[in-house]
Amino acid sequence: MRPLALFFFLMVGAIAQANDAGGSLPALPGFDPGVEVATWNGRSWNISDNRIFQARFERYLSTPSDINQDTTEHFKILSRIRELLAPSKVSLQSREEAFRLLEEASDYAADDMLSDAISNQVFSAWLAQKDATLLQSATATLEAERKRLEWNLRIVAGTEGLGTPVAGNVAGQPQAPPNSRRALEMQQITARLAEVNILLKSNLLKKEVSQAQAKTDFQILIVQLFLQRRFQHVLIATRFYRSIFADGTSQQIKFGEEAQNLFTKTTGHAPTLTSLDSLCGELISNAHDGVNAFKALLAEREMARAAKRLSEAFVIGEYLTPLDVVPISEKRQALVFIQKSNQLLSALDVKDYILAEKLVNDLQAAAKDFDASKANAAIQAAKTASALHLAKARNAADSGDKAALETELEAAAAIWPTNPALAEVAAGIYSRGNVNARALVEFEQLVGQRGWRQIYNERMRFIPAVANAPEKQAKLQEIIDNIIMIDRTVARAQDLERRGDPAGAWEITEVVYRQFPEEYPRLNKQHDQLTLQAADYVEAVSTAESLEAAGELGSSLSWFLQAQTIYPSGELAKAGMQRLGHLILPDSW
Amino acid sequence: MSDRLLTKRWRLILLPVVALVAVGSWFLFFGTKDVFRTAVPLDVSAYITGANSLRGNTYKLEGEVTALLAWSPSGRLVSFGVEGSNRAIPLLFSSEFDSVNIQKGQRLKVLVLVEDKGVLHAKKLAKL
Repeated sequence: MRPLALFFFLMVGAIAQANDAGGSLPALPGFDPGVEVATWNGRSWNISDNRIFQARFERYLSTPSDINQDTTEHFKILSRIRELLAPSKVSLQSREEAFRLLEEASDYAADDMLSDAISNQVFSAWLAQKDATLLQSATATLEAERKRLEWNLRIVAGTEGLGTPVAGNVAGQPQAPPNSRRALEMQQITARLAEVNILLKSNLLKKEVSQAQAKTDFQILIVQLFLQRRFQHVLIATRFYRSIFADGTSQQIKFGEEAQNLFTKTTGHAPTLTSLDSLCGELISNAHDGVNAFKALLAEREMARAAKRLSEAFVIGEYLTPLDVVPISEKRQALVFIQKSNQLLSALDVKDYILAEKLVNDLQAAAKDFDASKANAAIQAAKTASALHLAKARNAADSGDKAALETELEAAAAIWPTNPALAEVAAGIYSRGNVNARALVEFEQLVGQRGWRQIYNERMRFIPAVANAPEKQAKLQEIIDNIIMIDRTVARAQDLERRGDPAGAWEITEVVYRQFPEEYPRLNKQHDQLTLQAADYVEAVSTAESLEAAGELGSSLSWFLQAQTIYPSGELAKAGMQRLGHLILPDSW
Repeated sequence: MSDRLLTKRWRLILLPVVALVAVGSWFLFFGTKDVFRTAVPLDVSAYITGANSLRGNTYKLEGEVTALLAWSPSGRLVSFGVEGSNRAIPLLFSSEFDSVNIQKGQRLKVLVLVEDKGVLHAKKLAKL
């Protein structure tokens, strides 16, 4: 309760300052539940018990409205009491009528027995006043006694010279007593006079103390009602107070020291009955205006501003009738909006951007004045950053950089922990890792079996698998290059064969065949067929090379010459001739 | 009878001697002028299957230069189409024949030595 009261004081101060400045009453404080800060005229206050306020406000929004006969009757009675106690109308009869209505008002549930408390306080004040009257009567009696004693004392003391008749003493007047008797009589009168004076002072003190106590008790009640934001009752209590203690003395209110200081600092002067009365009237009016603004904005589907106006009105007039009679259907709309707004803050806080995005859409659909820019910016920024880290994670996975992969995945998860793509990417990476591992094993098996063609056919599966193994990567590249070369060679050989050049066709297959003997069935088959078709050339070249290998350079060269005769374009023959020419004539060219 | 017998014996002795003298005189008169007469033609078919058995021997060849295979300051290597054979074989002409023009299409008679590694090294040549 205390923090709310302080918050309320701040608002009071702000209102007073705005009034002092001569400006129109500013909008009521803005309250941002996200940052627990209340703003007013460019000033901000951290409200430490924001959650308490939020809970109270949501409880209010979810409570069915008191739109019934009792509420209306209670409101009417309180209004009637205020009218009866208005300074321009107050009289003994109206005061008694107002007192009677207090008892009636306290019977309603909405009153929370506050009218009864005021009634008790009024009665106590009256009793205090009655005591004062009795004391006044006693004082008057004592005053008369004092006057009588003083006169007697003057008479007794006025006899000059004991035993000597007083000059001018007329006949019929008692004779002056003798000296000793007169002295005794004076002593008695003096003692009695002193006693009477003491009683008079005592009565005066009693009266003052009694009235001061009654005032203090009444002020405490007023302050309590004010801090509880029971402004209607504050108005009634202050008016009763003024009618009871209309003695022209100061009507300053004494708060507790902290509250007094805060009130003085924020308003610039000490709290008085008048200032409280004025403030309460103004705050009731503001709460009423806030509710009207809420209804108008609600009709325009401007939920954000409507909820804000209602929350501001609630801060002021939680217990005021205008807020009590807001229909539950209208409060429900505000409640849903506020709950979704709070849910959005929570979603952003826990980085659940999917939920946040859905809530933003819901809120935008429900409230045309909902400002989604900040939320959208936060959501999009997080999504972009997360996607960037995931992309880096994929790259790291592809390049086999496990440290970078983990770092990037962690960064992506930190930015957007519930990102669906995070799980997919992670699963994909690890799944791909498994697939790659299997593919790598298969690749190694095929290399062992010399299944080059199969490796080539499934190269798309093996390429990512060997990405992390440079040696295997080089082997795969070699296999792919070889297959490509062989396929091209076979294609060229087939073409030459079709054009009637079997020796040329054989020769190009022979060159490749010598690199990969018996390894590529397709090449082997083509090579075997061409060997038969270009048998003479093949024989000449083969014999030449055999003889060359045996060191028979002359005979070998004769066969190369024969081969060239058979197939003048033969590269093997030409190469053989050049090679042997250099062997026979080392310095030739 | 005995004279007849003696005459017959002398005739039998003299005739081979005369023949021998005639042949010797022919060799003395002609053999020193044509060395190719004494050389044996190269067995090309044997050579192309391997020159191991021919190494160190001298043979004569007649045929046509079909191509110059290699040239260096130390000699020339030519392709030589052997007459009577459909094969060409390589012939090495060392620098001693630098003064002789050897070109494609020339018909030559060559005395060759089968050297190490079966290379036919020309020792004498004559243009046909």
